[in-house]
Amino acid sequence: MNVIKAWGAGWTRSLALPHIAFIKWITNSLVACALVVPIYVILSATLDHSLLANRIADAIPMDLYAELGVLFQDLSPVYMSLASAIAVLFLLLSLFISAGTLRAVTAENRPKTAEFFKDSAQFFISVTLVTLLSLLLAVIVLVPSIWLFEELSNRLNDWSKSPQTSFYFGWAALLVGFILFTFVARVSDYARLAVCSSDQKRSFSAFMVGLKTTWQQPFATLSLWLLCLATVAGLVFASSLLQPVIAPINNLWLTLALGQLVLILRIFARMAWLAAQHRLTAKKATPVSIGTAETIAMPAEADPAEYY
Amino acid sequence: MLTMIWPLLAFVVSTTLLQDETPPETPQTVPANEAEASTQDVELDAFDPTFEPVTELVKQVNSEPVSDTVSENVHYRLKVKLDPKAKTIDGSLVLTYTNNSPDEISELQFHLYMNAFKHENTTFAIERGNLVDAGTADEHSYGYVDINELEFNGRHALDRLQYIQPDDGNVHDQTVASISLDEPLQPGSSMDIKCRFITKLPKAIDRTGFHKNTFFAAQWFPKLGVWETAGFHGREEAGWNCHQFHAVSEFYADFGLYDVSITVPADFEVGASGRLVKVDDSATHKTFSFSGERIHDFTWLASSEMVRIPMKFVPKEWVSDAELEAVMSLHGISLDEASLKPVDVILFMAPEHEEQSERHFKAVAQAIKYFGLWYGAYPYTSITCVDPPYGLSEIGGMEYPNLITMGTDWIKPKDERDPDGVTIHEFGHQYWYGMTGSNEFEASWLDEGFNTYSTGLVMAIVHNPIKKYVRFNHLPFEKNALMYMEPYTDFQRSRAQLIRDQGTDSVLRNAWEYKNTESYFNNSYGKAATMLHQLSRELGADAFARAMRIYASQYRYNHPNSHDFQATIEQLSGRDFGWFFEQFIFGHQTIDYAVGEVKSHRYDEAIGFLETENGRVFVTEPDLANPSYLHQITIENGGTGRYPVDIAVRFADGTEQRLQWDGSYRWKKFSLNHASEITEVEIDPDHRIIIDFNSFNNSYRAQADSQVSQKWSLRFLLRIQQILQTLSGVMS
Repeated sequence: MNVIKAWGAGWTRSLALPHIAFIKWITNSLVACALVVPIYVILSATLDHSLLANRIADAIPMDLYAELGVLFQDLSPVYMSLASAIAVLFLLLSLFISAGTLRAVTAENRPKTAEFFKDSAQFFISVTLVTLLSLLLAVIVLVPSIWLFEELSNRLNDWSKSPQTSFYFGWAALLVGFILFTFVARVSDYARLAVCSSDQKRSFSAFMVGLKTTWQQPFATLSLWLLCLATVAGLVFASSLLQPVIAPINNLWLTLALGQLVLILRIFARMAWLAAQHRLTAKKATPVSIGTAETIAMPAEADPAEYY
Repeated sequence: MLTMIWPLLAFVVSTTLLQDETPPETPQTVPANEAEASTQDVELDAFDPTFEPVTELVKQVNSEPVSDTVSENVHYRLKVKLDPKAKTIDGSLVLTYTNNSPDEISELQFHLYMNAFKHENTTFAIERGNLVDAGTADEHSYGYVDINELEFNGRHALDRLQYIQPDDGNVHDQTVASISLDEPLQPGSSMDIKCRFITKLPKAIDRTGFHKNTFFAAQWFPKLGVWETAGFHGREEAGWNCHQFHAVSEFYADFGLYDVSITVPADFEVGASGRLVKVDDSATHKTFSFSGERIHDFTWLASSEMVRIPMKFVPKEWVSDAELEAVMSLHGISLDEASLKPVDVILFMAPEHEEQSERHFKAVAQAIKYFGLWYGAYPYTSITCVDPPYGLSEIGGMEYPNLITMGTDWIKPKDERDPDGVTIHEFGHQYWYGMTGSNEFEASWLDEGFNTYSTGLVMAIVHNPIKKYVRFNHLPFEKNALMYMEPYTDFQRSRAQLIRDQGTDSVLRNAWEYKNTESYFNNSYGKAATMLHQLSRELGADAFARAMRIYASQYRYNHPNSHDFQATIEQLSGRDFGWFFEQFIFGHQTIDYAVGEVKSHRYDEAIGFLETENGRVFVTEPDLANPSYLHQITIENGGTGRYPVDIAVRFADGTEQRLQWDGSYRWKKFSLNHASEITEVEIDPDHRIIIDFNSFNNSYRAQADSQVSQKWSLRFLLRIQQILQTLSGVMS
């Protein structure tokens, strides 16, 4: 299957799973609301009875920005602690949901909501372990790269007479960084797909599958990602074009609706991408010798503690 | 993902807003030396007591004195040679010092600023955190100045030199030297001080140093402190005012004459304070001779890489007759007094910024114009403007007499504040510091605050509104849209500093004694400028403009302090401003008025034994046909200071009632009888007080409107949702 066909098939699969998109959207929205409520309370107390409120309706003058900054200053440490705690919970929740999502986008049938949550629970630990292995890979790949970039950059600045050299070097380095990040992120995706698509709960084996698949199909992998990025960028760009149209109407419900539409489309796009990756590589991925779905089948009711 | 679109859009917009493509006038390119700096050597004259000053030559060229009322008690004659390989300046100095005071002077105190960069134990290094990051230092990272020979009136005196630390007692700091005299210098008499010194320039750091083949010599030679008599600026005893070099403090010195000859390799060009008198060429070296009158410092730049572009400010090309007439009318001065003079503008441009030379010149010309119209013509014949090359940004944004350093980037959108803002600001220092020689160590607001205020006025005319940009690998991205921030003005920028300060420090403090660096900048720059705006609102714009011009003229080539400025304001207005200066300049008082509780009691709802026109009546059912109210309004002062303020109370029947409060005590409760409901209460309805920290609580509307808070909350919600989706996208 080529990249375009895989992308199309991915969307077909994704659009067939609206209930999962809804679960992801509602999770996102509830967490976002929890983060926004304290902000709303302060803004409401500050602005609702103030004649100055209308002055900042669309944009804030720099000095009033400073005034608002001071107003939020006291709240900031408490709020940041709360936000950090909520963010951690959200990430754990995302991991949980991702297990079910990965299963759903790779499965032949259309899982019902109950099955979705069952799959989420079943694959949660494996997916978490794969994610941690991916983070380790990111540290191994990216940290030395950043260090090398800084060293080269310093030496270049000592040597160079003009900013142009630094400019071109900087963008070249960013391109390399982008490719490395792509590599790590795709290894992670492929490994998690391997975990969930074939009942392969051995995380390290799945991780090796991800590594091998990425290594064997670099261009297809990159092309698919760029396609997805372009889709999302186009989506966001289109919404940003719509915002100036909505702004003069000053209709908060319309703004909210547009924002949610963009978010939901992003959720579908992400699921489509996962499905497309699975379809692109499903038949080409060669099981690695240390454990694949075919060689090591784990019982569904296996002890989660053994999933590593 | 939503957040990604703004930088992309900003990039598209910014690339259409790049700088003028207009080529500069007759650029003269200095031959670049791609290899290491020249190692060719030239012998500097030996310690030379018969040093020939070039001031006489200057006077032949420029016979018109810059001012008639100036006391110049120092005459520096410096002859120096730059060694680009060793990064050193080998120099000889003959300083003639005249004791203009009524005191006998028994010691001299010199600034040896360059010793601030000698090691990590200097006061400058400690206050800054460090000079050089561990692991990156080499011998060229540090700098110093050594006095090798010293004579007073022909007698050796080096053995009497000792380092002192008047500010902090840091025994490792060698930025001030004291030398006792054989016999006291009598009032009215002069003495010659001769010395041989060597200055090692560090790699570019805080306004001085070198990078590749560009050398910026600032704070580089032994420089005498200022002798102050008892009573001057409140001193109890006569003595030297000679502070150590601190991380955030600047300078203070007497006005005088500077004759300086600088020898550099033949492929170098030199720009400096004063004006260029002559250039002597040899096969291997060039010697540039400069002379400066009525200046209090001397700084120079030598480079084989930069592009020298001479331009000229011609008043009639920039100032209209109407503008001159307006100035004459406002200040009651003659055409001659209002007129400006031609100025040679010498640009030293980094090659990569050469296409911005026209933009730099335009900013300088506008500064010459407006500062000249407002505070008196720029009296010198030239201004040298240095655009630091890549790698030398540490020297950017600094002022010295007749020489400023600017600062730009390779790619500069037109609506970004700098380089224009910084160029205008640094030129402005020719007035506030250069000519009005206040003590920057002890009253930094008199130069930075005044100049921030004046710069803002110029910027308001020539460069508003301004957008903020953030740079990513040299590419500028507009931040305003991303942050929902309006394009801003310099006034707002200054006021934001006042708000961020929150009364941390008073405006007037020794520069090194602010709580931290941020407080120094907030108080010396923006907060001080905002206080001047506040004074302007008190006096009226025209009266304040007159006061500023009078202050600038009265103290030109002098050393005024904050009380001198206060006296100028009070004399001009005939009003006492002690309450203002004591609270907001010398003190750290703050203002934060707020509408507290607004309560209304409706008389006509009452029941009971009511006294009416028909006598006492027992009422059980209120008559609501003729409403009347007792309103109680509490106005609070959450700040520590007081400022007379008006309060407007608006009623449903369309009427308005004004109340006054002097701000004393923490709150005041006003009671009003009125026939209709209160709709709004507004503190300072004429928006006269700009130093209030929190404008949002200065008003109250009875009918709450949550539209704006909902709108902002929605913006936060949508942005947070997008961020969360990006996070979860990484996870699933």
